[in-house]
Amino acid sequence: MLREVGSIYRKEMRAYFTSPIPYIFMALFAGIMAWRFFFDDDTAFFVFDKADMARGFFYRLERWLIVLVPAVSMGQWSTEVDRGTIETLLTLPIRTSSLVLGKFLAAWTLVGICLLATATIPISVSSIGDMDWGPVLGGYAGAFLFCGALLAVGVWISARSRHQIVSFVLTLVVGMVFVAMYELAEKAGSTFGPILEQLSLVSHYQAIGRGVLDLRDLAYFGSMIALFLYLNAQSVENRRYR
Amino acid sequence: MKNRNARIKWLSAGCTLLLIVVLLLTNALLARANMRVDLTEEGLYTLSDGSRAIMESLEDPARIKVFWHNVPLRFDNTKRYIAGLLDEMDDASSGKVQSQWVDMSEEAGLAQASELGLEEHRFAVRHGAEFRQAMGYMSLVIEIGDATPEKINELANITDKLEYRIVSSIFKGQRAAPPIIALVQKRPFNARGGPQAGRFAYLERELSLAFGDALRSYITLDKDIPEDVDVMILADPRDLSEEQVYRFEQFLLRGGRAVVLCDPLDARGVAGPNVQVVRSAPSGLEDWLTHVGVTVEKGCVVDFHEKGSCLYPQEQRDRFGRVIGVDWVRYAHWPKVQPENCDQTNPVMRYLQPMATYWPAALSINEERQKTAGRKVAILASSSAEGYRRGDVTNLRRAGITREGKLLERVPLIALVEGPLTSFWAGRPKPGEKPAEPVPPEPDQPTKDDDPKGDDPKGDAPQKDDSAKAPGGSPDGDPDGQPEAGTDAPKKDAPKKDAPKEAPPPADAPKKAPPPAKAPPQDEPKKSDGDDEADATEPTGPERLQNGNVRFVIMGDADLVANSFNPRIFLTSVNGAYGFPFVQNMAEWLSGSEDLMALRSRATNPRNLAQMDEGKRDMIKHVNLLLVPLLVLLAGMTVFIVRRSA
Repeated sequence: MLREVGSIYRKEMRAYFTSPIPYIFMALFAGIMAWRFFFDDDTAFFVFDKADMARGFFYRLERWLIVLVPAVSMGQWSTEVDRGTIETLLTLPIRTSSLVLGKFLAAWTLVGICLLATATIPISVSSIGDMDWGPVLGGYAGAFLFCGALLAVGVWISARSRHQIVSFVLTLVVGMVFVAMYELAEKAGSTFGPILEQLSLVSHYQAIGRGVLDLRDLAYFGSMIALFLYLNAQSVENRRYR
Repeated sequence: MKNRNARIKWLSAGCTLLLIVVLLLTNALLARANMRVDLTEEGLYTLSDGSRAIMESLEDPARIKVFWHNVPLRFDNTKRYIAGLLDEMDDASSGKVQSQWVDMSEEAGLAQASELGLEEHRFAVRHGAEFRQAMGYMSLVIEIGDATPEKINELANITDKLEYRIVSSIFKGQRAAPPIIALVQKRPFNARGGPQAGRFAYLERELSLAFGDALRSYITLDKDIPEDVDVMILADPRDLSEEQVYRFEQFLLRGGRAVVLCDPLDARGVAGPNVQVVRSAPSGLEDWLTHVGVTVEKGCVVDFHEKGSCLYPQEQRDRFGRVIGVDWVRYAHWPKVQPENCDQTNPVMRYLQPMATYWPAALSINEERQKTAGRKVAILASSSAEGYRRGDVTNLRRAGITREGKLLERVPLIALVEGPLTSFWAGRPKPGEKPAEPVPPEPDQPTKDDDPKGDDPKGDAPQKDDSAKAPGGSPDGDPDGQPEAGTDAPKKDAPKKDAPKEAPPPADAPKKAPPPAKAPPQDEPKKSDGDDEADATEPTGPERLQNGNVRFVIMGDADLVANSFNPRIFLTSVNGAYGFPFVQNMAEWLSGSEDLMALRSRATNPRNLAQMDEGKRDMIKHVNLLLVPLLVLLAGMTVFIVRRSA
């Protein structure tokens, strides 16, 4: 199975990096993040005068990630359907789970590389102040897991829709729902509030972003990824036997 | 075929449902586990070793109730931190500390909060573009046995101290007989003549949190110090009368301990290094201190070492006057006591974080006098080797002093005085009392020659000195010159004239000194040893203590615990406000306990940016904004071109 996953993963990665689009995408993401951190009046890094990224970078980063992730996930299956390569792919002697996992891991790697493209920001900050790397690593880990969970949802949606744009919009909406759930938790009272908060990706992302890797948060992200990859595999399997 | 498809669909749905159930159960099970890795350098989200030790040694159970209601989401991380902290306390205490999040959705929860007298907090909540106010609860209550529940409000504002607050509350609750601490400070009076919050209100609050009911904050030196007081913190004594000094001395002689924070430079209301003239104000303790062999010099200590002083924020503005950054500039008149310049054998100093002081005065110790009296004076902290005793205080501007031509040395800043002391009033009537009969001249009474201050027959009250007229300046007119020896000596001479030279201590004096808690009442006669010259020459009143073992800590700065340098201001976010834990720890150590010291001094690094000019700042901004994206684009274009040409 690992070999199958590996071959799909390599194929996907090759496809990404032989096209200029991911590069443009990464450059854009890195530029926006740098602008937010150094130039946005709300965060005003130099005026705040702390070697800290929680305030200017990781705070509300999820609002940008819910745009980044659908852009990566939208083409995962929809492109194959569009180009008519899905049938070829499904007739290959490869297990559905390997196909799903390979595609997901490649997309997750791409998102990870996008996040890594912003690594010059913490490096710059640590060069001008004594920065605590713990919350920075926590913030990146949280963002990566957030992207993983949303990506699993996005890849599943992509498998269920024919068009990339539909897939993009639906994943964006799901992402917005996850963000809104967190904000609604405040107004939902003490019965539904904690439930919404626990279900929201944002609260778990923020918990890890403090610089604390808690088993509960990791389990939540793991469960989300596992559930939607399973659903994804089910959808692809249905298509295979249609 | 249709049946087969339907069966597959049902099977698929069943499997999905099963998976969801398994995942939910897994999450529910793991929700009880408290397994986490704290990646922060200072272990901010982990119970410290000191707290753990206290939790492990708990005997009585404690119950912590958290009231969290209607709190905005931005405090979510605080909530998580509290939950994690309480879980860890529960684990560390083997279940002795139990926590409960009170259900505030029911009326019962709100009623309970109101019954306990918890304060409702006002929060600003964002609604679109505008902010609205909302009320909610963000407090916790600690219950130990039958004791009055301890309330901690405004949890979000004290996150960095929450662990200490909870642990110290529990610790206080377990103590059978807490030491009694007195904070003596000058209080202003309101229009009705009632006392107002003084210059050390913040310290008072901190001490109250640390010592609870054991703090006596309304004690003054106008009356005798109550017998139950173990430790006195004398904050910025000003113009103390002879009677007040006498009461202070009697407190020490009966075994009381003290932290004396003299502040000869009256820099109140001064915003920072733009100060030009600072008034010098006498404490009234000068003569008594000279008798003890310690002098708090006039002027202030300047530390030229790179790490030896604090920073001051200077706003940077662009050409339109907008604030574009903050430059932290070093101000040598605010020496920072570094642990390496402290006496590491003293537990308080061992736990000391780099401590900011503000225009502190230097201490000088009369070694000869200590030797004769058999006392020990330990220098607990000093400046770096690049310290300088500045006598003149006419221009304290940052640029007003340079190191060139100065005598740089380690200047003592904090001292611990321990050992036998003969009363300053030994052989003389106590202040305010007329002698019953003329006192015959004593054979070894100080003469005009051996006491340079003995030539002034006047002055019961301390003589005001306006140091703006270059006090302590060098004779050659150099305003930064070294103060001459003796220029700092007090000018209040009448008691001095009559004061005897301190007698050598009796060999067994330390053993005979009364212990702090069991000091004899002041109106009981004090038995003194035979070779005490004061005893031999003067009849002693029944209520007076002529000698005893004293123990006090003295330093020449009180600003470090003044309201204006409290931990919540921007300035101390960089320089730290470790004067507060220092004084708390010192009071606790003098009372014979060390349990909470490590916990109280737990440091968080301010993590400010290095000083840099606008050019460097712009460079960093633009490298991140442009260079990185351009490099990524370049890589993409290269791949694209190579691929096309292939």
